[in-house]
Amino acid sequence: MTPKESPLPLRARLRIRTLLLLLLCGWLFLLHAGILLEHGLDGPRATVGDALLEGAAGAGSANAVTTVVVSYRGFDTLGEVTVLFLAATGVGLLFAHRRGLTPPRDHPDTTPASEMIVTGVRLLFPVLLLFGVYVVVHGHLSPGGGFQGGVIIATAFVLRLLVERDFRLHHATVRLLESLSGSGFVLFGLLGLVIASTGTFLGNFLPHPTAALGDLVSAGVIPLIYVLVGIKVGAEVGAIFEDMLEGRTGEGT
Amino acid sequence: MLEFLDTPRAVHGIYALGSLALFFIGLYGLLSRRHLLKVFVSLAIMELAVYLLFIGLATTPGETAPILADGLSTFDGMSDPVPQALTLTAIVIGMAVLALGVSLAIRYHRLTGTDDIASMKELREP
Repeated sequence: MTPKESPLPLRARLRIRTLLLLLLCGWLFLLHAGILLEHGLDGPRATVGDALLEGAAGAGSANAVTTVVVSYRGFDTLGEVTVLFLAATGVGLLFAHRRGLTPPRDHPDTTPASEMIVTGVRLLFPVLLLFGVYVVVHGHLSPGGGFQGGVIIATAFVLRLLVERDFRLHHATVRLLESLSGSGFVLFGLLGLVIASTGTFLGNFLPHPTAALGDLVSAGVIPLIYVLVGIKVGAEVGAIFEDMLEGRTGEGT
Repeated sequence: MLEFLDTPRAVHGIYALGSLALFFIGLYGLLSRRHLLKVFVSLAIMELAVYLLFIGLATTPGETAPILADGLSTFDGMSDPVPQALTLTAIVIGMAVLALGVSLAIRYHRLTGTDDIASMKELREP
């Protein structure tokens, strides 16, 4: 690589920049790898998780991750759902000014989906919906829960939004579901705070016997909160996607 | 002959090296690409690397998922649930932030017609 003979000096400059960036990233990689390989290999010892696992059976939920997400770190989950809500509102705000004057979604340069895809999506839609509801409802028994199941439910609606031209999410219903599930979450937390037997925010005030471990109706308030989280995540991910889709088709106006 | 790969130190080392490599691939993309959407893709790759590192280092070989199923009745010898719960949180937050960022990028492109971060001059001092 001799810059003098190169016909394009700009290209040579770009290569040097790439080389420098590669060197920088490689140096940082070696630095961090050195630190991690020296100190991080034995894994964490005596963590909070060990203490939580010892008490996890008392929460009555067979899935310890769900217990941590909804019960021990329930406040954190509430904050996370708030962040998701803010992001959905932000996306809605960014694309909102065209709503109302957007024409229907048959933009001239979008070709309609073929019959095979439309039929396939119509067949898939109820199955995806059922699977999402299953994952949400069994969040305290098996891998899964409100976040994962909510995204699966949203996927079902995203598929229909992509394929069917006049399929729309009803904005008022989506907003209502979002606010109802969000306030339901806070309400459960406040009930846990008020009821004397628990006395903590998001405390498990419903009976959660250890004997019922592994049953569908067990773990007290945990599955109820996770179902609310599922509804909220599903509604918000669907709303984010629909806002972006409407923003795209409003481009031509 | 390859039994040493099953020891916790070896497994954690592989996870650490792999996820660090992925992280710095993302960092390189973040620094070298100039297209807005590619910058967001690089950020997403870096996030993924952090999730992998978190889960990989927290799980020791031989531990099972912290779920009572298939006849298990106590939470003995199970992996730490806290990093998994944190990663679940982080994935959802990452998705929300990515959606907001991509929306901002789309709006910016629609307003100015450019998607090159090197030509963003709106906030430069005159």
